[in-house]
Amino acid sequence: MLEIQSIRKTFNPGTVNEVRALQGVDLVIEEGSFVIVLGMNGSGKSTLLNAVAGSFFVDAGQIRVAGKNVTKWPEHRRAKLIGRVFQNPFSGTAPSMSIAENFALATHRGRPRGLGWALSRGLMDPLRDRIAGLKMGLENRLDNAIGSLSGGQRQALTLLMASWLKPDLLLLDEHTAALDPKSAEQVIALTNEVITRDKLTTLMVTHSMPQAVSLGDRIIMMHGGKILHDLQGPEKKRLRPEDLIERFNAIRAREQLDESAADMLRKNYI
Amino acid sequence: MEITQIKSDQSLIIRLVGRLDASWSETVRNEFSAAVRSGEHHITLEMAEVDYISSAGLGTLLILYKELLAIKGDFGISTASPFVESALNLAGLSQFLIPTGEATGATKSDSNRSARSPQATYEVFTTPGPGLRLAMTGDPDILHKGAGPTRNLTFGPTSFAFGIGALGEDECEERFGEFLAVAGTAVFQPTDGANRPDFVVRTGDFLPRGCLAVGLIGEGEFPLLARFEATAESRTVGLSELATTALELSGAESVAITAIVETAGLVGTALRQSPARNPKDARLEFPQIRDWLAFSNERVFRDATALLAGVVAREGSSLQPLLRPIGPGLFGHFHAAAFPYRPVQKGRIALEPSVTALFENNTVHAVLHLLNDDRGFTGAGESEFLRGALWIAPIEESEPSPFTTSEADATSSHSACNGSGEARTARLSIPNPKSAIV
Ligand SMILES: Nc1ncnc2c1ncn2[C@@H]1O[C@H](COP(=O)(O)OP(=O)(O)OP(=O)(O)O)[C@@H](O)[C@H]1O
Ligand SMILES: [Mg+2]
Repeated sequence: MLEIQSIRKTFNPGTVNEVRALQGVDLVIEEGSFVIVLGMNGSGKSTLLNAVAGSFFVDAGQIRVAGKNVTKWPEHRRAKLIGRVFQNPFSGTAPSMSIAENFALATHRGRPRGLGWALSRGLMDPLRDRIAGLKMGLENRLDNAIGSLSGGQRQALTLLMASWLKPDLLLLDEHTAALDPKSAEQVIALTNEVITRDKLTTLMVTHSMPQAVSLGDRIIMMHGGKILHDLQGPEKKRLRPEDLIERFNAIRAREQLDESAADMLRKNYI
Repeated sequence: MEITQIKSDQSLIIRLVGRLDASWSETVRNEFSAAVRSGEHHITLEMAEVDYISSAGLGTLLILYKELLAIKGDFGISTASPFVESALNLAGLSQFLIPTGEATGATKSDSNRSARSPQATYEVFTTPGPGLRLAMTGDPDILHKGAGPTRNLTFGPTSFAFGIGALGEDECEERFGEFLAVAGTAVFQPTDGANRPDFVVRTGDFLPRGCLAVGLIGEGEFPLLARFEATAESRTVGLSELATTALELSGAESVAITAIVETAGLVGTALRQSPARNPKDARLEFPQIRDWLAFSNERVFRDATALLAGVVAREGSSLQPLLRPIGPGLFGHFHAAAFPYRPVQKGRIALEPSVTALFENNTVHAVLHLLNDDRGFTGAGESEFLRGALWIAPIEESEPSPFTTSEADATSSHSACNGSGEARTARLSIPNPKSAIV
């Protein structure tokens, strides 16, 4: 479960490059809920996920994950509770290490080092099974360097790693955006399978309307560092991609209403 | 396959050469649709050089036939190759073949007269009849003051109303948005978070019911029908020019208009919140206005079909509090409901069935208050149309002070708009329908 209370983040405050990326975000996500995050470029989606993951400290507000106030925790400490997958298939893994080593690293994250780097049977067997389940032919390549794999294969593996320990919160930031359509489809199918099977509390950023309507149980739409729409329950279920596009158009139209248009409307509207 | 269009006076001839099979049927179908869209309701096909037609091709012909049937146009095949002729006969579609010597063409127009404005031509039909009464309701300053108490209204087949209102019985004020009601239909843009316009179409005795926070309520008939078509050179005609022509055709100082139009684009705005909400907000100030009005800086709903309800008047009308400049010396107030494109049947058409037909596929894109965005280069301009039908009722101000507070006046024998409460009433009538013809 995730509880976000009035968080704010301003980059480069007091300079010409000042960006108020989060302007008071309140969000409570129930345990097991799968939330899609939508919004135009620069609306603050990644900043929201980064704030939760602890890439930086927020300027104001509070963040609680699984009942713990993590607002002041550094990123590595939050990593015990949070699994992440980014857009770039080349981040989040160590390219020169093998698939197996990457898994060992990921699954020991936040655990006492004492367990060491050993690729124990206890890990290897279920790992091999799971990777065989991907049907990507990777189960016999566990010793290959992860850098030698395709983007789709890497994202699938990164997702498996991020969700392996059933984190309290899973953060996915456009994790299929850099993939070809076929690979994106495979990774999305895997995402849905993992999240629903383990009932993982998830925040997933995407620009794909079909993904947004077909996945998850809730959609939040961000704009200007705030949550503009929050759609859940039956309203989320009946959404069609064109309804979302309509909402995006409405946001754009809202931006177009400048002071000169406001003058014109005052004169012409009743 | 080769497709050639030959434009004749009243109809369009499309000549097809080659094989009309699955690989070409969609292209041909698009060509047909584009022709109907551009206003061709009488289409003749020449198929003498079509040496093969498959079921896909026959299906395409059938779709065109049905499309034209729906708008009372017509469709026929004037020449056919032996293969096409036998295929049509075997498929039971021989009625498509026009017997030689008989050409399909438009039925002769029974218009009383024709007219012209700079960007359009008109055919005008008159139906002498009783007048139409119009009442102003609510406070035009609603956006500053908020919505006051409203009455429940019923909209019958001869009702005419538009303004800020809602459908439904209770808690209307939660949903107040752009509203219009004509010919037994009513449609509005709810402001309670629902994006879709809601509507009621008269079905037997089931009539639209709702409330109007501010607007005009009328009851009666439209004695003039003007069918217009933008000229080939200008391609589109603007709302202010149509409104001016309506005034000229009627000879009156102010008219009420119901219109069904094929659009080249609408310029308009719509309330986003009910004026009954957040009364303390300075609603029309920037930037709060963004939360109150939805407006896009460009023409929307291009190539749609729209239903318009509005009034237009020269300077000095008693309806002035509800009117805004729409052109030089011209004041008006129009609402529009935008529908998916469907061609409007040509010639003299009846109001109620034509309006009802718009709602047939259960989709209304939006209801807008039309604007004249006159900000020069940056402005979106006004709404533009390709062709359509304008029903016009002159507003004859018979009394020096046309407004009374008599409730009886607002209630007609059709029992439309029969609510309790106050309404200021103007009489809309035609003194002499013949004299309305210039
Ligand atoms: N580290 C940073 N330093 C300075 N500005 C930043 C930083 N991170 C984000 N921003 C700015 O904050 C705003 C929000 O960015 P963010 O990356 O959250 O947008 P987004 O919704 O994820 O957009 P996209 O869809 O393009 O990924 C943008 O204006 C961005 O330039
Ligand atoms: Mg981002």
